[in-house]
Amino acid sequence: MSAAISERVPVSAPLIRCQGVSLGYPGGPEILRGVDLDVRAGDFLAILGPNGCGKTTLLRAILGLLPPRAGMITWFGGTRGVEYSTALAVRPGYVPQRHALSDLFPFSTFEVVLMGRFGRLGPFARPDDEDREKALASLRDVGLEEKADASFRDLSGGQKQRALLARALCSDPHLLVLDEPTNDLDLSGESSVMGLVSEMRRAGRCSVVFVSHLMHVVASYAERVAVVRDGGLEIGSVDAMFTEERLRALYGADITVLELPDGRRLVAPSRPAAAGGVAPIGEAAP
Amino acid sequence: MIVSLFFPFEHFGAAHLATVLIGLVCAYLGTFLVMRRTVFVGITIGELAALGIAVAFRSFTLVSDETPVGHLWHEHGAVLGALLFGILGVALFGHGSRGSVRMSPDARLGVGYAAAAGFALVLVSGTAQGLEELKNVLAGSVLFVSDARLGLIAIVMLVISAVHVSFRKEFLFASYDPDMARTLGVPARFYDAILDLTIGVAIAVAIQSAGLLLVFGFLVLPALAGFHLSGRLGGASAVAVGVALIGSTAGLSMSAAQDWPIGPAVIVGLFVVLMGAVIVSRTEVIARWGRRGVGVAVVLCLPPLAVAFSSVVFETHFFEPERIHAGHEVVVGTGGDAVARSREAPGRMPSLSDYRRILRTSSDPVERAETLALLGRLGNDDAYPDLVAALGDPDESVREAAVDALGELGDPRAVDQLRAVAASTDDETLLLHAALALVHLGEREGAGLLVDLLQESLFPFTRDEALTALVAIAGDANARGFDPDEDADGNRDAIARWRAWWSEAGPDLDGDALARPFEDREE
Repeated sequence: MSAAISERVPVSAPLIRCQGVSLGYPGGPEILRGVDLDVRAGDFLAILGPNGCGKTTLLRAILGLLPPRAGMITWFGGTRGVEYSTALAVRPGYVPQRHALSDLFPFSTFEVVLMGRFGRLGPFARPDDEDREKALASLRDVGLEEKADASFRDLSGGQKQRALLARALCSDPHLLVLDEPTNDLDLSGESSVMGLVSEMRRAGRCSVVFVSHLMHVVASYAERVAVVRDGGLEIGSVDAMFTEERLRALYGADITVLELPDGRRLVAPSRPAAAGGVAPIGEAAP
Repeated sequence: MIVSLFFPFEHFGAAHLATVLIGLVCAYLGTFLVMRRTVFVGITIGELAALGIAVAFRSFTLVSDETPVGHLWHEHGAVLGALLFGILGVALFGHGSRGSVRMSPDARLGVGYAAAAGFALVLVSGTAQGLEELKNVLAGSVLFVSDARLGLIAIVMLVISAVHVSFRKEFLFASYDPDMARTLGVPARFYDAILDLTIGVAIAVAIQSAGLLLVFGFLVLPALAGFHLSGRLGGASAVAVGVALIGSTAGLSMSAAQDWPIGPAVIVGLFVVLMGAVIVSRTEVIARWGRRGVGVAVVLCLPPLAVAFSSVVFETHFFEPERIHAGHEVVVGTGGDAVARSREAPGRMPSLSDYRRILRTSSDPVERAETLALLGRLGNDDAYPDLVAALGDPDESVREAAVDALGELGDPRAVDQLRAVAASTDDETLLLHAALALVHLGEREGAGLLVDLLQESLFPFTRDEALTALVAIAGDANARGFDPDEDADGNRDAIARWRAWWSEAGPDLDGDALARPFEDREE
């Protein structure tokens, strides 16, 4: 078990700071501009927004995979602006969308998780017993120890996501970064994955930033929300951001926000009015 | 014992070793191409390497080989051209390259392949040597691999293997999840580029000997068989190289046995193995033993199978090495690409089909003539129709070589052919060759034709050759006063003496006497 992040990083100290950052892909239009964002130790931050608004673009910049066109991104312990480098001072554990990984690679679950240790090994080094033990421990943490020898591509969607989470944890990260971690998962898979992430963060093992377009996931697990809108960013607590007015403005649709007895918020699109609704099949519209 | 079981190359010669080296490395690299969904990158890079060879051959017409630099360029330009254009192919079409909305990655590959093939053919269309070399690149000429080329193949393949042993986990990580690799500080783009480079260099070096078709087959078929028989990457890679090993050996064997061209023969063998793998992967064998078990069983079985295949089929159908050596001794000192290559690799085993290919496709009469000489020396009766066909060659020197080879071959069927040549030709040089060939076959009438030539020949050289043979047949070291530099009028008395000798000794000439003109050559 790795040391809690609070033992390594001062609580609430910024891990990553974006100041006036503009982002876009080479040869493409500017997607985000003037972004100011702090990711702090102990954070559980969701990046929310409609499809194609630039959530993943921001995530890639946070990971150091996309250099900013303007502005500066500061990683705790080191500063890099437009001079881009992949050598982050803050060690991220990245959980990509599982669909981005090809099923043609016949890796076992254990082999996939072991990749989380490769950053610590030199070019000629092979994983040793300590690395293997670490990978097994990570699989244990996500409840997949018995699937270590199973083929990764044969796992269910939820199991794959947990295995990728184990891989990220295996790198002993300061910051867990997840890209759409619950896409296409059923309720059980969704609860399993986000419950684990939540548990890791609660145990102080790492801070969390995740991207999602699923408002109920964000409302259920995140503490802060960064809403990507019109090329900019609005940041606040879940309570502050999940209001009907803000969400209506964000999605351009009527949205109902209900507060549950335990304090969580339920977000759903409002039901269309009965009059003037879609006519039943075979009947003319009024 | 164990070493010879797994590496039985020394018995099979340079061609087998080259094929196996190329097959093993390409099969391993093919696992990456298949996993990365970049299979057609392989064939496009290969076609670009062929374009590099075409560019080099085109440049040969502009750069003289009489200067030291020009000589070096003529000697190594094709290899360098293939390498440079292969690397260019990697840069243009490698894993890191992206398509666009208007041109998808596979469309880019299609354009690259078509353009490279078109430009290459246009460039070499004016140079016979370049056209021939390009044909070799497409069809392969692994049986004519020289020691120097084999050395280059071995070094390149060993270096590529060493690079992959050193960076295997980085190559896999960068191929599987480059973003994750980069966030962990592993320079995925760098390793991706190195991986692409090894693929490009391997293809560029391999196609010049094995041909584009065979290299592409090695890149795709064994890897797919491996993935069908093993559910793990290590097992799949091991099965792939094992399949390449037996595929190359079986292909060479079948090529020799059935006189098939070697590249397609290996491809057919690999395809059969792949189909077997597909069937096995869908049967209960996999379920019962597990993919890993099947993979291990296949890998363990392959080397002994390869040895068994080779020892049974090779020994039966290939020319015997000693006879190859004998042939080489005879042709040393003459020019010609094929024979020169043979000299550089004594002991290797080209098949009859390869000699036939040269006779059919070579635009160089010297090369055709020397191939005929070699076929005559090798003494394979199966070559008889090819030698007879060469009697109709448009080039005079090739026709003469065919006549000589028929005499050398020793097949009695040649007597009637040679008689027909002697009766129909107006060319006294060809008549001289026909007469000597008949003598070589033990036919006394050949000596009679030589006596006629002493009188009828217009050229001192022909008279000298005829006289030398007759003196040897007579066995008395007596020219009977004949002076080759004088014509028939000046040699009237000497010709009468030779006619008298023919009348007296001709009917009694035996095989020993008729073999004497060729004793020096045999030695």
